Amino acid sequence: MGTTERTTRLKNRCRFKHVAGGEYVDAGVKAGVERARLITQSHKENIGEPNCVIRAKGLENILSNITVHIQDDELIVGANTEHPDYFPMYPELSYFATLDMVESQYCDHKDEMREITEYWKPYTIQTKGEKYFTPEEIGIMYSATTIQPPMFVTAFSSIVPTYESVLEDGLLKRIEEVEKNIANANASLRKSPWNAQENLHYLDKLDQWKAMVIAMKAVVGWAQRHARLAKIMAENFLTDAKRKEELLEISDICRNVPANPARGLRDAMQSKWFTYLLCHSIERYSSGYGQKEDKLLWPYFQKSVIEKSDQPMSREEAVELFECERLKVSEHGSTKGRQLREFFAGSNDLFILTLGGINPDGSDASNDCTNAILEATESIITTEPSISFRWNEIGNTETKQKVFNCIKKGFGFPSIKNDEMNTQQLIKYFNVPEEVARDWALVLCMSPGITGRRGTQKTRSEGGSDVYPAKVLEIALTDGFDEFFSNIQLGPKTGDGAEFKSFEDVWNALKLQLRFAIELGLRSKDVGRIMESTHLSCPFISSIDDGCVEKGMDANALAEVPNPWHNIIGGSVVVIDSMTAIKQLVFDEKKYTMAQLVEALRNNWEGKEEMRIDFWNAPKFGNDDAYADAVATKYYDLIADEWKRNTTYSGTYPLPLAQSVAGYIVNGPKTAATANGRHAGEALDDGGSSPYMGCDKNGPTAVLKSASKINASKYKGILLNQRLSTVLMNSDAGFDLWHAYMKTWHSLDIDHVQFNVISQEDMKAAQIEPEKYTDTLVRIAGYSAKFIDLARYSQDTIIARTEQDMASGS
Amino acid sequence: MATCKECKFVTPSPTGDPTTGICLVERIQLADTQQTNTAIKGKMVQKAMEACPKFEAGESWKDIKNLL
Ligand code: SF4
Repeated sequence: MGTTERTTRLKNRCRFKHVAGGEYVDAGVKAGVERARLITQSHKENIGEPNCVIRAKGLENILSNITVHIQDDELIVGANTEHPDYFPMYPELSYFATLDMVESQYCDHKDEMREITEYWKPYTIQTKGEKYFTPEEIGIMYSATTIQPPMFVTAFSSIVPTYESVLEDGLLKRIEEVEKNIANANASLRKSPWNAQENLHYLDKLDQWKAMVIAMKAVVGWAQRHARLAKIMAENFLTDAKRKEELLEISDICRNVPANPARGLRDAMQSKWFTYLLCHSIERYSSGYGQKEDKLLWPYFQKSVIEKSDQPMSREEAVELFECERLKVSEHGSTKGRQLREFFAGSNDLFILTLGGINPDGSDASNDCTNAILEATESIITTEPSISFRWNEIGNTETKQKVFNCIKKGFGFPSIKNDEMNTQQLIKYFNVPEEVARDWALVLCMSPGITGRRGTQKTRSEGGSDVYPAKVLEIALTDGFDEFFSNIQLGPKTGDGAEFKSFEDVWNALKLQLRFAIELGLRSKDVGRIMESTHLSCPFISSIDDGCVEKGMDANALAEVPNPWHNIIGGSVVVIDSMTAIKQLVFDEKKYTMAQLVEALRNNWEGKEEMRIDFWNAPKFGNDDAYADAVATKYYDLIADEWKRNTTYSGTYPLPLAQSVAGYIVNGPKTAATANGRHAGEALDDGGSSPYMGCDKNGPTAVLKSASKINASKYKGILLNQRLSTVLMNSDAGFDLWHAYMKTWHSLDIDHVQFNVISQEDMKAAQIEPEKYTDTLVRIAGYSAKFIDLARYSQDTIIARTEQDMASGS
Repeated sequence: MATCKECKFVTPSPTGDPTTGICLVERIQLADTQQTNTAIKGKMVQKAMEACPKFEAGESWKDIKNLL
């Protein structure tokens, strides 16, 4: 429960928006129509204007007219819809995603929304993007088998807004700056003699700047609407003196921010929340909660909590405010089509904030604001937002103890990222100056990107279009044809696996199928990015980025600091274990032929149980086994090399990122039997270096040693899930044991680790009596979920993970 | 004539295309060596497809937590 009565009440009343089996768990969740209605109305009135102006006017119409509300007890106000039970809709993004929502049980305004959906069909980025692909390519992408459908159809994107510029400058100053740019451009256009080379580029920039001004003014007006509402409520409807005072303070805060710089922590939290809403879910939908929160808020925390010079408050009040933030995020409804709702089993969206690490000057970045955020996390117990902690050798033990406290309670977060390795990677691969690189935060679950006033991660084309490697291996043995699920040719014809004569033949087919999937995925991302910048301008997001303001460019178009990555989702270890088994049993020991194997896989091992057991018992990754680990290294080298062949929109090659979200559950049923002894339909592995369920038999250090053989610096991230003993973690020696484990982890140069601390017995009991386990959380992959809200199938895959005994010393 | 769309076993739109679904009806009981008990042998269906003999009426989303 919360640390105060207020946050306890807020939690009890919170309209959580997480999903189970792809459907919202809370019965009251509905699709809001106001955003869709208002953007449509404005679009009809402004057709013919440049896209950025149409988009700015659309935002203006939404912000001027959408219903605003303030709920009892709230200290942070503002929402993305007209009602706290609702999530918004984005008819301008994907026709399919909107149609899916409109035809779902969540939409009560079906006739109106059907009309809106059809109106937008020709303008959506889906319709625009599809034109650049053949029907066969569309079929492959939309089948979601070897690659994720492209962002222009899933409507899924990610962003890290430049919060710093809003908090430091305020929008009024930025409006002045943009107006100055407009005035200078107009003066230059009128200079004598006329010089086209020097001036014609201003035409587009003038449109962009004009759109930015419209958007920023609309945002200031929207905040003022909240200020007025709070004042009206305080002066006319409330008798409780304390709440009256709070509402008057809220009114003062919304009058001040985001128009002006934040004065103290209350302003900063409100301004950050408004900015979050706008960038992630009002101007467009974008997933994530990427921010280096302790760094971002530290100046305001110092002023309010430590020095008490501006908006003074006690430390307890700061913790309460962080609890309120967690509840706002939990109540926030994000909008995704069914495929992605299933992909994020148990969660609402991928809300992940980052803490810890080091400062630009190299000192420990964990501060008392970090500690207060962790304390609020520990007390309020919500799955969202998840936290990633940057583990640096110099990080102080007090903060690490608070990280441990959350993990020990079974939250599954903070997940831990290797700070030094990820900072060095930004410097080495993306030429980021060291002091800027030191301010990184995760964009979504696993991928670090820089934060700050310019050049932040702005668009999904840096990530997304995931490759699903287990399916890729499946079709590498069936001449590129998917016999199991979609019945289409998913990749090039690389031969019938039954006729492969050497391990290199199998490897080569895998390589060529991967290459095809990677290249199609990258092309679809970059086409999506062009569609975003030409048809889905984001003038507000652009207006708060110093680079976009200076250059008069849309945020989707600008790529000052490239940060491309490409997810390989769930299945890497299935591929490693399968290739290991093939190498050993077919080519080294010659116990079986490729023809026998392909036949057995095609028949889902039917009548071949002995053979299946042989493949199941072949060496497995995660046991410090040199034979299996050598295949893992070879596989990961292949992955890195294959991506390196390509150049993306932002001018460089993407680094692969091996993780799983809940893809290991969703993609299992689409993947035929595999040579690691897995049956058709069974779940895949839950990360990049997480051993397959139940296959890590030699203890936690053996898992770390296997994981360390992959050179993690060549990848954006490699996810490692570990399940630790509840008893040990809660014992007196718990912290020391875990700390020693973490030091080993760090010394082995591994990228990432995250923990489930929950016993098998508790999970089984929760399946029988869910009502007794309402606050039991588990880690899925890059995020956590309430155990009882997961579909049965997902619950079973978590129970099946091996529990590691840190005290065993093996 | 009933279609897959009206069947409780279809998960809507597991792909990029909402006119398709995965049929969850076929289950495989797994061997003891495996860590999980069942596998869902997903099969892609067109939601407009004529229902098969295993059809059971119902809105899939209502039961999905137990079906998945
Ligand atoms: S009608 Fe048959 S094929 Fe279609 S979803 Fe239902 S069980 Fe599956």
